[in-house]
Amino acid sequence: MCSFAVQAELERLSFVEKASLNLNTNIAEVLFKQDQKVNIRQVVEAVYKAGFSVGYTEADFIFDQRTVSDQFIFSYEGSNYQFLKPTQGILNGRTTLKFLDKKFLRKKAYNFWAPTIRESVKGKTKEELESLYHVTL
Amino acid sequence: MAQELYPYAEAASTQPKGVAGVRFAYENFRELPSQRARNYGGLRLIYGVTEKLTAGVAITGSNHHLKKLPADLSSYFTKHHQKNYPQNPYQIEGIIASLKYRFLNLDGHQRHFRMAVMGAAAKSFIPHDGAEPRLGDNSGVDGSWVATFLVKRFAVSLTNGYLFPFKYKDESQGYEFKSGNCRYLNLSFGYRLIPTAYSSYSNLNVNLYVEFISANYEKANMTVNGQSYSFDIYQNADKYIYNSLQSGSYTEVRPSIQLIFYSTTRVEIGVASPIFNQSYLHFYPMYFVSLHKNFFRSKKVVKKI
Repeated sequence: MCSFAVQAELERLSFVEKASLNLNTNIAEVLFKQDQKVNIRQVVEAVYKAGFSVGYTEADFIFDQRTVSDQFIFSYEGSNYQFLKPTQGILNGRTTLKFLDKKFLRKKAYNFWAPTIRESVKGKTKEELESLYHVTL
Repeated sequence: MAQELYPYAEAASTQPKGVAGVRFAYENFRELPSQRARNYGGLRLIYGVTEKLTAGVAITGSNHHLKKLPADLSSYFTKHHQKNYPQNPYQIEGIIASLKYRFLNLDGHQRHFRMAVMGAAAKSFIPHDGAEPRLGDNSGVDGSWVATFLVKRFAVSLTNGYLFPFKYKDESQGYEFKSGNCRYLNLSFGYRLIPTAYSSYSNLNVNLYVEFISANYEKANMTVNGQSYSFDIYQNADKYIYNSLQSGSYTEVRPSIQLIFYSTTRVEIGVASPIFNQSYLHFYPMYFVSLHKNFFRSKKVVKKI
């Protein structure tokens, strides 16, 4: 019954076209509406509101020969995505990025990245932090 | 997580935020020796205030009690389970308000360990006449903690609590009756029988439960016009009634089966049987049926102007 709550909560988000939850693997796939600004934080919060935790968060981006490196930041639709220790230098085509911020992945996994993230957010304002995501490959 | 939706105990998981639920629980047993049917119903509304806090309010009713204790206490405490004693009316018993707060969440893939604390308070409108208290039958307060462990298709919960009943007072007759304070410990097991693997939310869920209910309570005390009223005089009259007024402890088992439809509606049916001493809140076997429906928030509709 509670898994249904996750799907219902995700589909309430205005920028979500459809959410489907695999009840055996507990993996939720979220399809976003075209031409609507996506808020990944709200997607994660929707899972917690339904009474669940998030194991990991991934999203597909399309790159066009983009060179990336550690601490590199790219912007998309008003949000900033900062790479931490990416495993490759040039991104081209559909690429899955893993989100590293608190509540976006299991606590144990987050603890590995926490010192690096804390260092990266030093001096940033609340508004900057709200639109900043830490990602890796 | 369906296998932790116990018919009797509360699991440590909370209602999703913003999701309302309604639950109706029904109990039936035959009073002995009269063989009269005793029925109980409780209607409960629950709401996910936040993802960690669930609020509930319930109203209960039954034909377990009189509207007030009679003037002839001797006849009452020796004969009220007899067939020729006036039948209890159906009436609203009480209202109960509750809160559950989940404070620990250790989640993994298809497993979790969660803990919550719960509190409840009740206002009763009827005279409960036994040592073992029950919220709704008694005005009172209750506090407990629960720990739930779930792995794949199996779940187990442990609940430990304390129920403090308030005095029942009938000023017109000078009566004061206090049920005993009660400690309870419940151990609940759940297992998802089907489906073995889900294909959609519309899959029928069949879950099996076995719950062990244990309680340890103090004896009942009564005064009439300020003077202590002894129940010892009834020791040789009706053993059951006499024992129901003394301190006691027991364990009963409640096996049940649960069906969940379309991930929103569940039905469970089961029976309570004693395995160590007995509860005096009901006779055995006691059958129970409950229905529960959750109302999930629908998708927001944005109108284009």
